[in-house]
Amino acid sequence: MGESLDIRRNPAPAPPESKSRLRQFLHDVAAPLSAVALHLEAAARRVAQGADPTRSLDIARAELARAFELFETGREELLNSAESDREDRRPDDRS
Amino acid sequence: MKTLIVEDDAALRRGLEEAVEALGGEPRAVGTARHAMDALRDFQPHLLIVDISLPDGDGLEILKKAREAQPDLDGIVVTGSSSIDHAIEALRAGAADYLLKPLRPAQLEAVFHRIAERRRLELELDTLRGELAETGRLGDMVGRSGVMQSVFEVLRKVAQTNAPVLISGPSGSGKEVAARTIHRLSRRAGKPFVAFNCGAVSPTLIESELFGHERGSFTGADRRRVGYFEEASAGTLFLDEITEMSPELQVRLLRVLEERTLRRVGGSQDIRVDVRLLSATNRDPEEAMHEGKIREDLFYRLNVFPLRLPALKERLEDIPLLAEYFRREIEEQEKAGVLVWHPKAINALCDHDWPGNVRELRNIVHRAYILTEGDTIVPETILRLLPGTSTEEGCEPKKSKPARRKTPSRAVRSSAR
Repeated sequence: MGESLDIRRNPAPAPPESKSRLRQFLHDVAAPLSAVALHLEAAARRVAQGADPTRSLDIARAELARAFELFETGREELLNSAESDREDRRPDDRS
Repeated sequence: MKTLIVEDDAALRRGLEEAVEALGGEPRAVGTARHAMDALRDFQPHLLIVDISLPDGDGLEILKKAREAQPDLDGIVVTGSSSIDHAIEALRAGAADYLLKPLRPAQLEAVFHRIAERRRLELELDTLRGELAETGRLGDMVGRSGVMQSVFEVLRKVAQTNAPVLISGPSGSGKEVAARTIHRLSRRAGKPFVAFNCGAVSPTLIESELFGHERGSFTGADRRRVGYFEEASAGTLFLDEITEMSPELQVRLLRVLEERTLRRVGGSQDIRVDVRLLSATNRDPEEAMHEGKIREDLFYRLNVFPLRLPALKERLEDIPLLAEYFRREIEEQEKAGVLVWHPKAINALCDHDWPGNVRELRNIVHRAYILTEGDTIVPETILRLLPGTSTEEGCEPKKSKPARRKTPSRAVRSSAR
């Protein structure tokens, strides 16, 4: 609790390395999420045309699962790097 | 619209391909920069949708190279980064737009339609410019005379705007044709064009014709009817003989133009309307306003852009072109093999005053076509239809045409509506 308060009082800009990690994380998750949106739209179109939406829904579900996996991986990486960043910065915060 | 999709993520690539197809495009999708370069050459797309980061290259580089080879290619750059630098880079590379991941189908649809519509308009304009250069035509308007070239110039410019246009000109001079051409050249071209003649409908009916009515709003209104304003939604409404509209209705029309909403007769709900209004009169518009035929406030609303069409006698040099245009048009329908004009037949046409203007000319050409035996319209046929005309002079503009008022033949009078 105390640590997070310290960080808020001294909001240092995120170092480039963690920025690029965050960018990569967003980028990785964004592709399957885009696919989910497009395939759900395709499923809706098929329903409206009286066609079978199963294939589009299957792809959307698979992409959603991939997005979740990528999210978990990215989340862990981010948490780990945030932890090590805090470790690195602790002496500076005290000074 | 042929659309090349370059995206390395297979599921996203497939999703984009299906989305483009559903939007009416003709998609081809590849997953690498190398395949993209091949497809650009073989497929010759109109639109390139490219992911900014590809495993074997840079999407922006592909777009740049593609546009060097094909400058009219449109590009949409897909990026996972919301960085402003990427947006600027994309636009510098010649992208018409860029889309951020995660993609939203509605956003893709909006951008795709905007590009498709612009391309359609450019194509239409090119076609029309070509027609004008080659044949003296702009849509269905025909003329090489200086006065018509000025009309075409104005018409092309005003078509690109949403401004109301008040078209004036004598009866038969082609006011509705001009209105249709404005619509055809405008961004609303794919939407309805609705023409309504205010002088041809009983004043008691105009209101419900224009604004529609609810069921039971008056005797005989056994069901709800959508009016011409709503029919022309997102398109163009052309009101001919606007000065024949009653003062009460002019007030209602003015309100619709100001508030962009209307209420059907007997209705209680305001309905939003998006309509470009073109109107026309065969009177002098300002004179009509001074005479109280049209309210001053409405006049200024309608007359944002005035367009005056000349009488045919002001552009006699266009008669050969018009006569040939009508002959071809009639030949396409009738296929009787009437293929040419005798030059003196054209001379006779040019010696007439044409009180009924282009409409009268078309009727005379049609009659001459019907009366012709063989493949040539001969001077005798025209002299029979337009007695008293001479076949000696050509159609060059006459510097001072002698004031001559011939009594039109019965045939001509009946055609001059």
